[in-house]
Amino acid sequence: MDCATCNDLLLDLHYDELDVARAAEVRAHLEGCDDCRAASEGLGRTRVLASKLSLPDAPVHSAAVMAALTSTSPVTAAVSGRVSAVIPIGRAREARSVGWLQRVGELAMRRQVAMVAISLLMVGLGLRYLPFRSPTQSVTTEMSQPEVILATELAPTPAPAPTPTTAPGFANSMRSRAPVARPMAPAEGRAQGQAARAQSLDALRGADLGSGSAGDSVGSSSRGGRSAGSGPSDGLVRSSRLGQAEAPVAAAPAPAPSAAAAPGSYGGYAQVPADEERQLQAAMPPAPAPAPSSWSSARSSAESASSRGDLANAIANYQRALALDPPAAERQAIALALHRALNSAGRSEEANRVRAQYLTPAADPTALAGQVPSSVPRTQTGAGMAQPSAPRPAATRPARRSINNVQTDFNQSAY
Amino acid sequence: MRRHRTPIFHFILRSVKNPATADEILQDAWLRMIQGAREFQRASRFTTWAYTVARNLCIDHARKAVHRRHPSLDQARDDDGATLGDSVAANDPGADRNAIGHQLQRSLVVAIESLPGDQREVFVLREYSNLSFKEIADVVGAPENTVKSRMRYALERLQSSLVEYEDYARTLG
Repeated sequence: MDCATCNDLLLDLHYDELDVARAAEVRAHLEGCDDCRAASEGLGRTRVLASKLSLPDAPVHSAAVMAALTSTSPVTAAVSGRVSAVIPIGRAREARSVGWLQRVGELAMRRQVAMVAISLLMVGLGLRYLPFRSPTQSVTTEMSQPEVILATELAPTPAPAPTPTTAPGFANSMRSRAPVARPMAPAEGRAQGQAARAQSLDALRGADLGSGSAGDSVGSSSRGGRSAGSGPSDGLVRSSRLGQAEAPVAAAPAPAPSAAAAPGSYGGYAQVPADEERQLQAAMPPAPAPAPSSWSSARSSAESASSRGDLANAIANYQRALALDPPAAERQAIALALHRALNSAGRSEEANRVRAQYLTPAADPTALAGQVPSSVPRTQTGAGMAQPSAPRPAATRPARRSINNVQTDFNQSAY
Repeated sequence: MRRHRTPIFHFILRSVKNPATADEILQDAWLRMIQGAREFQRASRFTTWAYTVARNLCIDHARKAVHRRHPSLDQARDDDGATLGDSVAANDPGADRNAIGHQLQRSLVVAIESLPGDQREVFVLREYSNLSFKEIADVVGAPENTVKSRMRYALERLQSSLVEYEDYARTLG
């Protein structure tokens, strides 16, 4: 072996990377070659000095990193023997659980998860706070056709006694559904809330609203003012066509007169006694409309009297119901019933006065609101109809509308 | 993993010359190994793969360090080999008892860190990590003979740097 070859193999000799035979050859050369031996000794001394360098201890890593390494991964499979030899079994289990939590945490922190969460939050907030319009409102916005009804129903000849065509169950279901599905303006919502509070107050008092006593009437009148701002109940409007809306439940919240819709004119009445309410009622010129329960009870009494054949009592109750200033649509129905009762009683002059006062289109244009033409299919009040536009205020409507205008508006709103 | 932790940390430390940075890179290396576990080839040794990952991170750090020059506690700040870490009070009680050993430690650190990078990594991998020359060749991506040449140059440089400790080495050896 020459010195060059020996020099090339010196490193392998010092680091034990030579086979036994080759190492023996190198050692034999070193014994006979001073230069190569000196070089080998120099390498040996340098290695001895280098071995005196103390290696700094690596810092202990967090349990999460070590746990991730002990999880079921190819790396773990490769080093599992070494890891299990180093890490105790209990710590290895703990490390595995931490690794599972870490994987779940990584999954939860992904951007896609965040986007889905934000989307769900936005949809939830939208469902919670955005107002939805009820399909049944399409009827209330198409208030253009009542004149057709008037033309057919307000015939000068006395009509037979009205027979309710709307089942009470249907009216009840519509009443319970309409306020929920209908969009609610702020003032409307406040008025409905006050009406609900007034009804709760009635329940607490245990008052018989149908008794027709003066105190109850006035008190109910003031309470009705709280519900005056409530919008039309569409199902009730359908069931309260002239001559047909006879069920008491059909007299639930109806379009309010514009004069009674002034906000703040009835605030806080629920907390004052009935006597004070009467005084306040007298002091305030724009008296709010009465509660439906009062005039509706009078109307119920009149209807029951009419069914018994007691026309005098029926006429008196109808007149009292009219005097309690019911909503416009209901006033029309009550006036029609009164007109028929007066005709039946042979009091044609009074009947004509009632017709002239209440049953002509010029008498109360707002009374046309809430009427549904007979040509409108009943299914238009159901779900799935196009979303209607907001009802226009009664004050902006013309005093009289022609049938052509009515039909045009109806077509526009329907399509 | 713990078996490789200290040698890999030392390998990183000798490269970046900063214990805190070395710790960060070591943790980063573990995480890279976890994330790249699917790419791990079972045909190769885990040790080789681990050192390859650590070396790549050291190279990335060195490239970034070109733009930000931080003084290192282990880095020599003047010609006498004194480092910034020497000016910090040592907590090791044995440091005063073994003055020669302490001096040798400091001289070794300075000598190793003054080696060229390619020689230093080969020396550290062979001397302290106990990788064979073939494995070192796999880690650094160079032929085995090139690795041996670098090792020889590194040993010669260290020998010349530590000539004053030859007598001390003879007493130890």
